[in-house]
Amino acid sequence: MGNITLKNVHKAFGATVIIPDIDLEISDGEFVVFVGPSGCGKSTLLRLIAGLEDTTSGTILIDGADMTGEAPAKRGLAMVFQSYALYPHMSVYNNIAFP
Amino acid sequence: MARAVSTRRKWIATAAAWVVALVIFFPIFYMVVTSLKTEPEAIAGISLIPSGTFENYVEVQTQRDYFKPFLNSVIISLGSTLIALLIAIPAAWSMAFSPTRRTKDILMWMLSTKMMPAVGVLVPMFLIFRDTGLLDTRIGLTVVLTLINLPIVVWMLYTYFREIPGEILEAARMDGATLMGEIVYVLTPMAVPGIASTMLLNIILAWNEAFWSIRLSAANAAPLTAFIASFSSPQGLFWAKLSAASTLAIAPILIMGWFSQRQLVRGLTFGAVK
Repeated sequence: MGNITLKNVHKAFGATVIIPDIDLEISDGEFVVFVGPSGCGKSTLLRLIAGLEDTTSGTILIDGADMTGEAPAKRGLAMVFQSYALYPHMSVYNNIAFP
Repeated sequence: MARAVSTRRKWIATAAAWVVALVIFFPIFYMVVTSLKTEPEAIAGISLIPSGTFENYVEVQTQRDYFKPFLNSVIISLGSTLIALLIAIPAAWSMAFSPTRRTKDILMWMLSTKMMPAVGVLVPMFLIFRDTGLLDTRIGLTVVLTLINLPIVVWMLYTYFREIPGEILEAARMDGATLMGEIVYVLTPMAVPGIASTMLLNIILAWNEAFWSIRLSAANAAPLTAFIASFSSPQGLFWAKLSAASTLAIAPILIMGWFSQRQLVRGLTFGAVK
């Protein structure tokens, strides 16, 4: 249904390691919150799961299927951005219907 | 009570706005009035009531054809604006969406070229133009106007593009839009208002540019600014005819500005008012 599993997920920008090998298991229906000071990698972790960033190493499984290199839209996830990121020039209907 | 105060404030603000607007508008109004006077009336002193003659306009048209400089102005201002946009859109785009450590410096450097007085490079520019045979050609003037307005165009577009949040592209990606879909349905609609007001403003700037136009053109490529200037010198000062020529010169751009004022105001206040 909606299990997310991270195995040894590692992310570095150049020499800066943002996320050092993380293992995480989120089961279906579970409510998980990431808390931490700014710059500690909360957003990066979300973006890795969403597929907006590529992992440096490690595997991301969604419902048991390997989604590590898959396009964001193929993962069947939804994400609300910090700036909402609605399409201001579109009507409500088109915002939801897009693409 | 509070309501009464705010109403009075509103009145004062409205009155002040009208005063400022009238002060700014008065010289233009007086120019139109003068153009409708006879020459003796025009030099007689300040008077707001013209005799309503159109002879100056007829005279201006018979002395020098209006339509040639008009056509030159149209070609040069539209041409330089289009070329400037072609160069500036990719430049501003890359600076807004993938800035580096030096982006701010590059922007400042571009702007710094506008801080130099134009006279400072008049002689070298003139020599370059003479030696390349660009003197008094439309191509030459188009190139110059493109270059002198380019920093402003890049800056305006940059601030516009900066307002487009990068997250909106990621949102589109999450929604499963293709790269083409992102560009056509998300980016372009958000960028077009900015490009349009930059274009309008730049056309006005290019239309009104006088320094280079007057100095680098003679008969063939002279735009309307040079057309006005040509009425001030040779046969002494003829205020009424000069006014008529000026009125004719600003009329087209005034009409364009009138029809596009919503876009223009949005463009000029963009980023300043939040």
